[in-house]
Amino acid sequence: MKIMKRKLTLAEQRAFAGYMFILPFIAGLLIIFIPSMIKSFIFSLSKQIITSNGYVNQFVGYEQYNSLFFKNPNFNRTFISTITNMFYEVPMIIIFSFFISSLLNQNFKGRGLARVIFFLPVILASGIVMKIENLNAIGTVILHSGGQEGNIANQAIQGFQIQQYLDAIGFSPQIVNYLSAAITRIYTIISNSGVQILIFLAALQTIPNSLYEASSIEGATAWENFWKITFPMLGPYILTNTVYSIIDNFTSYKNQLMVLIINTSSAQKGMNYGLSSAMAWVYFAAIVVILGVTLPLISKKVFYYN
Amino acid sequence: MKSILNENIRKTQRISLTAKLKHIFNPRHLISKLNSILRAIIIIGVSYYILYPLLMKVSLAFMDQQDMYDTSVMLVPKHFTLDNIKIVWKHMNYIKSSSISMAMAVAITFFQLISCTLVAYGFGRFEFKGKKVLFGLVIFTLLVPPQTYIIPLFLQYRFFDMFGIISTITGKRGLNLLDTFWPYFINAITCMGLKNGLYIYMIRQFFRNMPKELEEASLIDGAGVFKTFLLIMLPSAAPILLTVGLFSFVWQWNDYFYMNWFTPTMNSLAKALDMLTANYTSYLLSVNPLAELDPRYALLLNAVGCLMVILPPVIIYAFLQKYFIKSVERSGIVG
Repeated sequence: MKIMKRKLTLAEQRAFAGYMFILPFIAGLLIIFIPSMIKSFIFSLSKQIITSNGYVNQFVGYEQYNSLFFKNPNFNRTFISTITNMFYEVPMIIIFSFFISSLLNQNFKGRGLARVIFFLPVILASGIVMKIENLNAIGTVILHSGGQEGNIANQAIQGFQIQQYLDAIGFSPQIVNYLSAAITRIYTIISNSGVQILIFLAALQTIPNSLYEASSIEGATAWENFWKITFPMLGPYILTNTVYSIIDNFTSYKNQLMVLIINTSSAQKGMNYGLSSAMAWVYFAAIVVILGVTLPLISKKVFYYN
Repeated sequence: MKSILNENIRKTQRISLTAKLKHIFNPRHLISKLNSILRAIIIIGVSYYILYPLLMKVSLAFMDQQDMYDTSVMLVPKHFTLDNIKIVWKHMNYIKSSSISMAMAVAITFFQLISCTLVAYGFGRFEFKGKKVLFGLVIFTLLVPPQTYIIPLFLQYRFFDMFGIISTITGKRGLNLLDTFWPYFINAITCMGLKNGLYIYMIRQFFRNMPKELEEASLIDGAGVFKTFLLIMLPSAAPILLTVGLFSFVWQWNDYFYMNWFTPTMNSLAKALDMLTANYTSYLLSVNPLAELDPRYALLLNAVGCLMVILPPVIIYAFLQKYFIKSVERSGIVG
């Protein structure tokens, strides 16, 4: 009996073409990503014993994770401080880049140059240059005491003065703490805002002018324009930028926790890959939780124009 | 409004002083002027923060060593010297390192662009089962820090063996792919390189915004799916490809993490900067066994090294920035 071979429908043909196009990515997942993640997870559950020709994995189960939380002196502290740091920095970055991009959107002389300068940190502050900046920052505080490059020392002092001032006025302590944290971190915020400024800038230019014209005919002020038009239209990009900022902060070399992870896995400290893998997994799980909570929260408030 | 006023001024030639004052101190006028001044202050202030480290480095580069201890020297060096640059040039092996870096960055960017565009096109224009899950996985690869999986990855490339074929054929444990270009090639062509998830996301947003009519018209005219991609979609995607290419080049140029693991003997520029102080110290020791590297001078050398490392990307950026910023506006990452 002959079996009739049915031709694929158009939708199925398109689906097949789609699968073909993403083939490189699937190959990458299968060859590289998934095996490495599995191995890394196994590493985190085992300890390395150095034998004469390399090392051997000894399965110890959850002991590594336990020791992280209950025995390791550094992990808890660094972990909490890194996560808190992220909660401070990401909102500040978003607010700052929002503000700067609306400034850069206005027409003024030297606008092109300003845009170039503001995007420069993305090029300058990555990889090796950031690592050297870190070392430099620590070094200069020690060596140039009071000298020209005491950036961090100066900022810390000035933040303190403003803190006293705000306290005297009568702001609540939490707000004062937050604001002074913002001031001391201003340099980090500026350097990490490049991509966000770019995205917000492009987003601002897609808002049709007719909206603004219509609203000013109806008699809206600039303040109302901002809150009723600009802010809602930029909602989806606030979401994009939040995700990007969290990921960027999370994987940056300046992160104390990253430094700890790197140090633990370095050969001098006894090749403790298992421990550092366990740290990385815990950190990673925390980020997934944070993203999983923040994203739906923000998405609910976002208004999609089309 | 200003031009109308000027016209009227010229016409009548006589405006009373009070009228002129009223014009200058018109509230709306004042507020807009105040706005400009405030805006200028903010922009100049933030630009200063961004440019200050750069200026500092430039001034350090030309400073003689004794000027570092001279507290009266702030930005302009008293003793101008090119020695620092010469030392850093020699110890970073600048020409060789930068050509290695340039070749690797360009090649890796090229392959990453190819694979990421293909994958992003698939995600952007086609509907298939599991698309959402797979795209979630793309973002997932972006989330995971390289440190988590670098060691298994390193081992994989050390004993590279696809599904056990090689060990059955030759009996060895696997190919040693380290110290060659292969790890980077495999990473790039399978979208597993540095920040590739971000590129896929950006390019996908762009393709999502292309009008369906273009694609349908070309399909009606008889072009297959792949031909449509090559001849229609790709040329219009030039802006976003330029943007992603620049990102990829810069991040690859500055990367020393993967270089350290995969090609420990090849000295890219970023790695050379990493080892600059060590190299210089060993040079000093070879000349004078009791010498010690002054930490301040090490700082200066590092600063000069940083400058020389970021110089090529900044030059490229300066040339391309016109297309670059415009391209994001037109690319449809937004809108």
